[in-house]
Amino acid sequence: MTTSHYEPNDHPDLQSLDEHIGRQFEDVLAAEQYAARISAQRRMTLRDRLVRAEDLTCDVAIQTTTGTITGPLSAVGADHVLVGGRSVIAIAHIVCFEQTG
Amino acid sequence: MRPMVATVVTARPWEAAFVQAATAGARVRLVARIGDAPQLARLIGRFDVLVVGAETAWLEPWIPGALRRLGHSSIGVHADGDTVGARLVDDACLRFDEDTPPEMLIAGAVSLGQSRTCNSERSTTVPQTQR
Repeated sequence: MTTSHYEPNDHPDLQSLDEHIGRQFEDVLAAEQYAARISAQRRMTLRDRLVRAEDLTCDVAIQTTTGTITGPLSAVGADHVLVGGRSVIAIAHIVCFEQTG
Repeated sequence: MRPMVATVVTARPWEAAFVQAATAGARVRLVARIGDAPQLARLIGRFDVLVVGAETAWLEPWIPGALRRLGHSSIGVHADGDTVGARLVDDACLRFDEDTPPEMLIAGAVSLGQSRTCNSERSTTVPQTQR
């Protein structure tokens, strides 16, 4: 007799039912987690990604409307980022950024 | 030193609250929100503490212990009264129920990060009275 996960009395006649319920439960958990992952990505903002890059202590290449600035991402403010300890860039002016190291 | 923390993405509100608190403050560095087991395997060595919920579909009871042997600490989060879930995270260094305020989880991650890894053979459940 196998140890039941969902049928508390561990009755042998209910083993297949227990396995079926177990599989369904795992499927629901997996679908729930997949949805949560996609949902988290869809809610993510440019600033969230910059904060993540700062936490990873990444070097970045930030492209703005006037050019590209590269260097370590020193800090992320409420509306700007600091690159290389000296270049302050408004987040609203960032066209794209790339983690380079 | 700010410990590098990774979470496993879940639909439960505790994880979103933890992420929000971690990014709003600066006590930990949130380096990843892990989606699946292969991603966790790829990130081995790139975080100090993993915060994982018992509702994670691919979580197996041996994973927290294996992470510990690889030098990573883990925090297990499970629903209050969920005995099956609690068993899944039994080997985590710290265990909390999912109603725990995110600041407490962050404090746990900081303490584990400072000690680098938990050396105890058994995990510790933080009792309600200590919160």
